[in-house]
Parts: sequence; structure tokens; C-alpha cells
Amino acid sequence: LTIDVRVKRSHSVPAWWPGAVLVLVLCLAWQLAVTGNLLPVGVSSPVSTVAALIRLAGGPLWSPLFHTLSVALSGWLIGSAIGVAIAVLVVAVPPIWDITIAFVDLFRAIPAVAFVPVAILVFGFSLKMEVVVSSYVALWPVAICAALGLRDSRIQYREVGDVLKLPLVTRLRSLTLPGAARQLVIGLRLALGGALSLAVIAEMIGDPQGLGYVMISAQQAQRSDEVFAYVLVVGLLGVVLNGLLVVIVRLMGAGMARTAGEQ
Amino acid sequence: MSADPGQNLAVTRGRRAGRLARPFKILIGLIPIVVLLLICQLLGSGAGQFPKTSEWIQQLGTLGGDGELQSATLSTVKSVLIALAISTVAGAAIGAVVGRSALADRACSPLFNFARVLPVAALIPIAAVIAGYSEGMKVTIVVIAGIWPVLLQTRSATRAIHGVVSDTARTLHLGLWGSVRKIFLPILIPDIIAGVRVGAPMLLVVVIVVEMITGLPGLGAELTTAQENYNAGLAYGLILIISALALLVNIVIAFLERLALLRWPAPVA
Repeated sequence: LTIDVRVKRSHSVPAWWPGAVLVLVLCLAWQLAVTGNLLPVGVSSPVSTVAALIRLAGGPLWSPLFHTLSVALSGWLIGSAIGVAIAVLVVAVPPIWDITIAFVDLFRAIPAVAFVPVAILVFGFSLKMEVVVSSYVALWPVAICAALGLRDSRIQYREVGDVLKLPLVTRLRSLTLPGAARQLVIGLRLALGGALSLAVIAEMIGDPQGLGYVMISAQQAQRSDEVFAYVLVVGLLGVVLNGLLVVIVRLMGAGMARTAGEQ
Repeated sequence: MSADPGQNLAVTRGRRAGRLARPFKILIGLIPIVVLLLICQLLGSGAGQFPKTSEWIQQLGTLGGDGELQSATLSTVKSVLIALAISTVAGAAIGAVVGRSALADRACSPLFNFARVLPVAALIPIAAVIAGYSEGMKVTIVVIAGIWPVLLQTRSATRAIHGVVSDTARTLHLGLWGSVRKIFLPILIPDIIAGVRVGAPMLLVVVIVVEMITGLPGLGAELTTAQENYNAGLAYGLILIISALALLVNIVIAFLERLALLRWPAPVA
């Protein structure tokens, strides 16, 4: 048994200030190190990175950003939809669970990136290739997490449904789905990260569009300020997409959000 | 919310997998793959996008005949092992230090969160601009990408250590090294291992990504070369090799985990 006797901090200072201070201090140190020539040539200073970002935001940034965003989102959605469908099938028909669970362990161990060259051979240097590989990588975590979540939640809440004599639809909507929400959101979040990162990788070696491609081009042109700016953009894109996921979970209802730990 | 959603999954999965006899499970798992390979053999065309399985093996044999396949596999495995060693030690150390101090924890959180969602591949151009393509750069990127599971798991485990434990160390005058060795390390090892379990397969993936994009020697580079030469048979064959390697990593880690948990069992909550 643990009893937490620590006094809660006063709310006058927001909890994020140490983070903000550290980021500022690091940026300052980074800037000084670059101006003092302490870092290897090619490291772009924060000031020139932001300058490059502002310059790119004046035009060339948006088309690759939109491309990568649409690939990551469509890959995520398609992969998640297939994943959820597989999970429902596997949970609804127990014999399929026993057969699949063994080879799922094997299949998901195969690095999805290894399929990028094969996808290039089959689909060419195209948008389709990108969407296929990012859907593929998004499929696994959603299928596995949703299957585990649905199974556990069905076992847990079966008796509740029996006692309350709930009809099937209400049972699914009010018991099974919220019960599986925590696992499902874990899967969706892993899938989102995977879809974004596979989109960028596919653009780096395959499809000559999107943030991955412009990043490599900037690197080959020795424009390190632009490389740093694009990396910042890709990272922010990840943060924004994660935030979007939280919003979606909250929109699904208070019960879902609470069980998913997003409230 | 837990520190990293992926870790929970791995931990529960690990526990589940422990109940079934592992070799048996792997054998059942291999059946669909064998079936898939047979279908490829029967339906595949001689050349083109979907070559026969025998063509994959033949192409692998050609590559192996020059010793190129072996040296590529060796350099991929070497990078994974070096990166695994560095990221485990550094991740555990940083995670423990950050987890001990509430202030450091809050200060580092935004940076950690940004680094965690940043796709690994995005780091490659930065590293290339700074250091050019080299073995050191390869390992550096892989460590930066693969350190998070161990770091975050150790951080949350350290945060959960009860105050009485550190008081005990102080009362016994164990000193820094003594308390790390006798108290903190045994408590943290199960969580460090859980982190490694999630992180190790990621390390292999990242090594292959770096090789694919930079062309540094390894299986990833062989794969892109095969694609550029429209050698689909070799590409499929290399996927087979990479998959076997990924499976091997999982099996070895699961074995080491069981071994380590015998010596340092996870505390009962």
C-alpha cells in the first residue's frame, strides 16, 4: 500500500514552465555554439532554421506538407479500418483467433520498411505505393490492439449485459466498445506514428514528392537550414496528428475518452 | 496515461506468450508462411513483379556466392548489436536520472515527446549534412531512434519507486554506487528488459531504413539495389532474410528476458 503524502504544488506556476525553460536554454546554447564555431560545419543555427522555415512557409513548404499529410492520413485510416475489421472477425469467431494469433506474431515481426522496395517494383514511384505501404504498417497495431481490447472487454462485460438484459446493439455501443477503447487508442496511436514515418521513408527512396523528398533534395543541395526546418515540420506534423487523435477520441464520447485515458 | 502505449502492449503480450510452449507456437505460425511460399511458387511468373519462390532462392544464392550476402548480413547485425548495447545502457541511465527528479522530468517531457513522435527517417538528412555517410552516423541515428522504449520505461519505473527504498539506501550508508548496484538496478532491471523487448525489433528496422536511404553497406542497401535493378526475385529473397533476422531478434530477446527474470524477478505489485 502506498500513501502519497506529498503536498500538491500551488497552481500559480504552470507545470510546463521547466520544459519551456529547458527548450529556450538549449536553443540559446545551440545558437551560441554555432556562432562560436563549436559545432561541425553543416549544423544550422536556430535563427537560420527559423528563417528558413519562414521563407519556406511563403510557398514551397505547403505542397509537400499537404502531400505527406494526405498520405499519412489515408494510410492510417485505410489501415485502421482493415485492422478493426480483422479484429472484429477474429474476436467474433474464436477458432480464427487460435489460428491467427500464432502467425500474427511472425508477420508483425517483419519490418514493414522492407516492403517499400517491393512496393516500388509493383506500384512504381507513385502515391498509390506510398498509401499501400503506410496502410500496411498501420494495419498491424490496430488489428492486434483492437482484438485484445475487444476480447477482454467482451469477457469482462458479458455478465453486466446479461444482468441488465441489454439488446445486442446497446451492449456493443455502451459496453464492448468503451471497454475496448483504451487498447484501441493505443493501437491507433502506434498506427499513426507508423503511417507517418513510412510515408516519409517511401518519399525518401521512392515517390519524388512530399516532405521526405524535399528533405533529401535539400540535403543534397547542402541547404542545412532547410533540412533542419523540414525536420522541425515533420516533428510538428507528428505532434499535431497525435493531438488530432486525442480530439477524435473525445468526440467519440465521454465514456470512450475516460476509458482511453484521454480526459 | 502510461509513458508509452507500446510498452504496455509488449508487457501484456510477453506475459501471454509465456504461457504457451514457444517452439510449438512458432511452428503453427510458420504454416501460413509455408503456404504463402508454395502459392508464390505455383502462381509466380518466371520474371517480372511476382517471381517464383525458387527464383528468390536462386537470386539469394547468386548474391551469397560472392560472399556479399554474408557481409551485408554481418554488418546489419553488427550495427544492431552495437546500437542495442549503447541504447540500453544510455537509455537506462538517462531514464533513471530523469525519473529521480520531478523537475528534470517535467523539463525534459516536451523534448522527449517531440523526439518520440519524430519519424526516425527525418534524422538521416540532418546526420548526413553534419557528418556525411559513415558507420558512426548509422549507429548514432539508430541509438537516437531506439533509445526511447528503454528510457521511458526506466523513467516511469524509477518514478514509481517508493520513497522508503531510497531512505533505506541512505540509512545503510550505501553510497551512490552501492545503492545503484544493490537497490536501484535490481528494482529496475525487469522494466529495462521490458523496454529492450520493445526497442530491439525497432533497432533492426531503423538499421535497415538507414541502410536503404544512405546506401551504407547492409541488407537495406542490398534491398534498394535489387529494386533499382528491377530484380524482384532478389528483393523478395532479401525480405525473407530480414524477416528471419527479425524473428531471431525476438526469440533471442525473449530467451534473455526469461533468463534475466529468473535472477531478478519482477516485484509483485
